[in-house]
Amino acid sequence: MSLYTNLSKVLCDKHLFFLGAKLALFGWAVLITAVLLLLSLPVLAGRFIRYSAHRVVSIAISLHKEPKSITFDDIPSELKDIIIGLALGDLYIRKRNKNTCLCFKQGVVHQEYILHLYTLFQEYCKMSPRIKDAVVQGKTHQSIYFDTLTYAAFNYYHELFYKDNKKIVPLNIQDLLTPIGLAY
Amino acid sequence: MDDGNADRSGFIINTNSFTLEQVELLAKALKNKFDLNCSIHTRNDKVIRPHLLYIRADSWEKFKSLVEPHVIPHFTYKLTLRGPQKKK
Repeated sequence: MSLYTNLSKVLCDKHLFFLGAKLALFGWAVLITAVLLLLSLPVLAGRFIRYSAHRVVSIAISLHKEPKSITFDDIPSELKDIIIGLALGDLYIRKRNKNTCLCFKQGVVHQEYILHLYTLFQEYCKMSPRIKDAVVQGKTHQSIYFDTLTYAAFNYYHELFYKDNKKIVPLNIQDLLTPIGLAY
Repeated sequence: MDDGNADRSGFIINTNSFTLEQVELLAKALKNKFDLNCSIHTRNDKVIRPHLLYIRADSWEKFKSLVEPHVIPHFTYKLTLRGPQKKK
């Protein structure tokens, strides 16, 4: 009797050992797969994010935005230089009833430029850049644009650059223009 | 970046919407502040006769060094001169 129990115990142990070895093999397989998957995840994720950023423009790039009110002094001096340069170019400074907003618009080929400008001006914006079609003389043009919110702080630029609703070069442009402004 | 472009030896800034006096003002500012030699080209072939600001070849290097650090990669092509005109 005791021999039988002993035998069964040994058999049982051996059986358990066998099962353990099998489990260990399975475990290893799972572990290796998991490690490989973890390693490849950042690469896959990076590619996916870049892809989606290229495809959809109105992604939420902005994290902090819509300050209730800004004063002229709140605008960083570098940004002021940039506004001067942009105003000499394609920037539209739009005066509404009392206050002013900045309107950025480019052809869709310069999407990268608009996104660059958006990163600079996003804290004054509520909207993200959008793409719209415009039909000019029977041809469809795609443009990408965004506007800032209206602020009293931007009134200064409207007074500088517009006379009778037409864009002009301010007389004191020499004092306003900086290398960074020239670049924009 | 939005309305400038490299020409064969200099740099053209398309100041189409401004009057001649205003482009002159701008040219004077560039000369006095950055010592850039500019000239004004009027395109007579167009109906509205736009006045373009041209940064001369002798100021090209100076202009490039001023502007280059601020130009985004997308627009570096605008800072490459087209070189002398090829004969056809």
